[in-house]
Amino acid sequence: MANTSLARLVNDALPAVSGSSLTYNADRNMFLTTGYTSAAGNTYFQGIHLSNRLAIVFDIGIGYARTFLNGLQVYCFDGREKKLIGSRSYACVFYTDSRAQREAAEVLLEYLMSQAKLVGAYVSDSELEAFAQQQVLAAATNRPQLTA
Amino acid sequence: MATNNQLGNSFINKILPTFGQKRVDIPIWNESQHMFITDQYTSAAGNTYYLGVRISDQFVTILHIGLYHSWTYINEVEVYCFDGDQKKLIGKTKLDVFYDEDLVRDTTEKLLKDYMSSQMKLQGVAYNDTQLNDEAKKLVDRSYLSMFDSNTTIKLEAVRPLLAQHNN
Repeated sequence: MANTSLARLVNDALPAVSGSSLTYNADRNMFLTTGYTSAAGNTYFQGIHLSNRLAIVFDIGIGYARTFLNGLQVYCFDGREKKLIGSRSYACVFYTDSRAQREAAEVLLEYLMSQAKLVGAYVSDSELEAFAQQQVLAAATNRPQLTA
Repeated sequence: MATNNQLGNSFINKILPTFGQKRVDIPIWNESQHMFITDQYTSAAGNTYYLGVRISDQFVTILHIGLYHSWTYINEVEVYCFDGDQKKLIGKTKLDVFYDEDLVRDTTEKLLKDYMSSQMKLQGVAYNDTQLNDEAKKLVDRSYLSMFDSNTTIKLEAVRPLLAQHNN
């Protein structure tokens, strides 16, 4: 995806994905929502990966010296709106980029396989699995320009 | 690595369109939660709400779910039985707490058990609490379907009307 189209996508799509004000974390190539810190001192926020076909939203919590993956939602687009296509919740799962991407790819794969099954289309599971991993990687590694 | 072309541009573009393109109207199944996702909307405040719909051969569970900040809430659980090809509400409970699958399961079992016991009482039929609890548990277990179980057959033409009814 060319940088110009990616910049346009970011500017257009992010308001559709999150109503919160966002910052961009270049190290993780991730958009971060405004955090909330509880009375117990734990901080909660969301991290968003974006591609031209997907928005992947991770629910993240930081408690003591640990970062936890509390949940994730995968959205596709329907016109200019987001559409939830799968989600998972977790208890006491440490956040790592590889774990987060693997979970997102599994959720996307479940969506692709179930859509194929619902319409009676035959696509091999291995093809769909490779495609799901490719799409999640694209969302995780794109380097968006923040200005058009 | 599989490409869009290998999978078929047409199919992928329909179910996973690029931003700005319309998605085809195929019900969305969330395998991780064993339910259809329907009636999604996002409020002006940025909170997203949707219905989770579990369909078994004898009843339908509808979960009202809300995504706020970085948390998922279960707002309400409704249970419907079938009356012909229509659904009929037989119980509902408002929860408004963090989403907890065990709580959802327990709530659904209780709603089913309360319905069965009240029906039996209304008809003057004796019942055993333990047996009804067991029956409710079995019914709820059967509603947690996997789309990928070889024994599971979910026909689009059968579920579409049930999912569409929830738009009302």
